[in-house]
Amino acid sequence: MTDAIEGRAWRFGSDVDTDVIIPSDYMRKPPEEYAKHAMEPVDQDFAEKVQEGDVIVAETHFGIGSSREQAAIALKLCGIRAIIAESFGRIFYRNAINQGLLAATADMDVIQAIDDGDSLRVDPDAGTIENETSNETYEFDELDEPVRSIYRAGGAKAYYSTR
Amino acid sequence: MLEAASDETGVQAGDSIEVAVDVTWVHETQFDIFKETFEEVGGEVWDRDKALFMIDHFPNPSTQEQADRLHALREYAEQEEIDVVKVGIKHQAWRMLGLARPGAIMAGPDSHTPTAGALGAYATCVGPTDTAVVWNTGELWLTVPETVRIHLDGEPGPHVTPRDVGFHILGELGGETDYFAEGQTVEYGGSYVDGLSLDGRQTLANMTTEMGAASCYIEPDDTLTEYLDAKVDEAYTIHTADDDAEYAREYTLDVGDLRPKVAFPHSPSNVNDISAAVGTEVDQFFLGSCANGHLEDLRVAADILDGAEIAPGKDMIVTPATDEIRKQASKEGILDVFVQAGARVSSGYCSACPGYEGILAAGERCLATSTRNYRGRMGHRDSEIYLCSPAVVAASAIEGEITDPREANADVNGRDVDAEVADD
Repeated sequence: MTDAIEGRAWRFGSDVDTDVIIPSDYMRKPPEEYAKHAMEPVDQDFAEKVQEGDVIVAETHFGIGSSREQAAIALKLCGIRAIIAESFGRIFYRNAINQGLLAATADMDVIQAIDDGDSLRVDPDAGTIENETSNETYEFDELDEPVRSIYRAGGAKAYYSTR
Repeated sequence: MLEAASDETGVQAGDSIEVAVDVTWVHETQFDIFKETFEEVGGEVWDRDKALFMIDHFPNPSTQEQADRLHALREYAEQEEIDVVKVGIKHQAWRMLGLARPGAIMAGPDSHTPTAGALGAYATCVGPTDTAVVWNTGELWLTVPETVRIHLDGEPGPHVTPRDVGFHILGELGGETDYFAEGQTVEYGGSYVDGLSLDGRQTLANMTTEMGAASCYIEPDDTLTEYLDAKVDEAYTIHTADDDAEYAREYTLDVGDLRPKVAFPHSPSNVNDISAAVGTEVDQFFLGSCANGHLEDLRVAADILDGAEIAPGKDMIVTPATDEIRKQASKEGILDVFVQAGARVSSGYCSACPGYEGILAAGERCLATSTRNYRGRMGHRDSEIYLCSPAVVAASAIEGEITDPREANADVNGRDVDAEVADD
């Protein structure tokens, strides 16, 4: 059983790259410091506004660019618990799951039905997204193995240290 | 190749398999995250001959923070009995050290890892947490990628380099979305590729990262094996494409009448012919990076800059990718050309590309042979990065604005630099 994720939707478009998620200049600081600058190039106060349980909803290729795992860590430290996108940058996707952050793909219809600020309830086990603002329920794609097991364990550290 | 490295048979694209890794590494920016996970999942290196620490992002620390981190990495390496390699950018260093070779499975946290595909390796980037698992188990799970084949024929004209060919591919195929080959293997072939040196092949392979590729593959040939014979004693396996190989997509492009290209801000796929950029004023010029810090790249630029000076008031940074390249460039007199032209020549590392020197302020513009030009990569979010070939950056540095090297070269030799300065 994985707890449901409840929070607001933060809508982004396509090709959000890792230099946007965490500009490299901040990456040299400790995690708690650099996390304050997540998404700064596109939304100055993102880290301040995000609350625990919030969900990023993006279009294609979320997290393209460098291999910096700091991108996934920064979003997690801000309070983001899930990212739903039509597709992901391959490396960011692995990093997010390894950090215990739900990264799941969904059809573009689903993405486009969600507006910025909508209240969402994401159920990782059921594979559903309830939109409490519009009273709609959508599905996201099931996670493949071993991704599903790594996410359920809470990330790579937990998964591999108990294996 | 992946099948050979796994316990499986009949492996198909889309399957998730575990492969045995031959070369893995961690560099200084990913060290902290790596170490934390590595210790939590066991902290025992499966094979000390296959794991390396590589220093190439800030080998010459300019802040206390960087110096402390390098120190911590060195201490840890000593404790774990792991070699520390500090000879320049890893993608060029692997080739120099004979580690990137046909059949090798390479994995670690650097997005330009597919560069080693130019040497017949399966080289892919994973994050530091994944890398920690590899160091502990020697294995990596991955999804077997589909292959996109790009066939390149034709002979480009003067001052049209492999970088321009790569930009052409990004512009033509990456128009809709930056990452047209996301998670796939990009395989290059054709008479143009056959005729390229290893430097040029590495530039093309490096650029598959900006296509979204998980890896690149160029089939090994005599050019490669002759190079490796002098470097590698052990036998290696050359994998060739099956006769009935199925490609997810195949493209054939003629590079014969290409013009020099420039990628405009803020995407490497935002490609235009140089004519659209000519006259754009530039504050700083950068020649280097794992895409274009090869000896051949330095030669191309030095040929244009020979006897000239960079425009007054402008900055130019030249960073050969490795110490070996820098030494060879020095022997050939190339470094002196850059110094006499007024450029700042630094040592083999990532340099200005990810913003380790030459950081831009708001409103400043850099013309660079860097790998990427995402917003804010080299400094302020309101700065701009234009990407180009070594020939374009050299010709432009002389004028202080984006310049077509095909026109510049004619009047560089014998020009009266002093008179131009006086006119400025």
